[in-house]
Amino acid sequence: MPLLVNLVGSLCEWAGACHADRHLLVLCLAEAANNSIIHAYHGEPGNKVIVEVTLSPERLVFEVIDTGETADVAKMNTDRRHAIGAASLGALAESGRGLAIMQEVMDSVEYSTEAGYNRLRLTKQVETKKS
Amino acid sequence: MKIEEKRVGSSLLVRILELNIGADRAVAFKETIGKLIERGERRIVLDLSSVEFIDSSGLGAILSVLKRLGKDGELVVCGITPPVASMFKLTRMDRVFPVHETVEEALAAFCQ
Repeated sequence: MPLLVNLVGSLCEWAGACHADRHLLVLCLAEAANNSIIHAYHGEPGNKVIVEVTLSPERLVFEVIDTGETADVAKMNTDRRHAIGAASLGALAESGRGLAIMQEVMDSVEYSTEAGYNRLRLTKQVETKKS
Repeated sequence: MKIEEKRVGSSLLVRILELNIGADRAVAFKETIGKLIERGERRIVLDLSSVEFIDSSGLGAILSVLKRLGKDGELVVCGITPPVASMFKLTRMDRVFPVHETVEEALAAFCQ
């Protein structure tokens, strides 16, 4: 995970994401990967999480793909941003913020499943540097 | 989890010597700090100045420590790096536990 975080952090920086945004983008990618590892694969080692990063002039897209247990698609595509803050979730709740964090930071978060592949697609509008 | 401890009066200054408190380190964090609480520590200053990344699992681990300290205990956090600050701001953790810029400020807060 640290290697992935570093690589993607560099890509975000190259893409022109400001410093604060870069941290949060990397966080979102980590949260998405954690979702696959913890919830789709129940923490079992030896499973694959595929990360695809697409950078275009106007957007950065992370797609995190697994072949584990499919989440409730409707729940995953429900707005959970109200759960991000301490007060609404229950100040000391130890879990449950991951999806809300992704939804708060990214411009869109879409979960889908097809032919055994679960895909979490995170999109952020960025102003990429011109080469 | 690698930490450095230093007694300062009735407080224990705990510096986390890890770069990340993510999902893969959250359990170790809880266990390490949990042992300190088990031995009787109740006022903990958590120095996160070496931590460059924390995710929601890491945050959950800190909250777990806070719950374990209970009403008789206190936890303050200090030295947070920009990535951690972004995360804390996003999740409004400043409403849950005090966050200070430096160790000195955090220790001084305990003395008030």
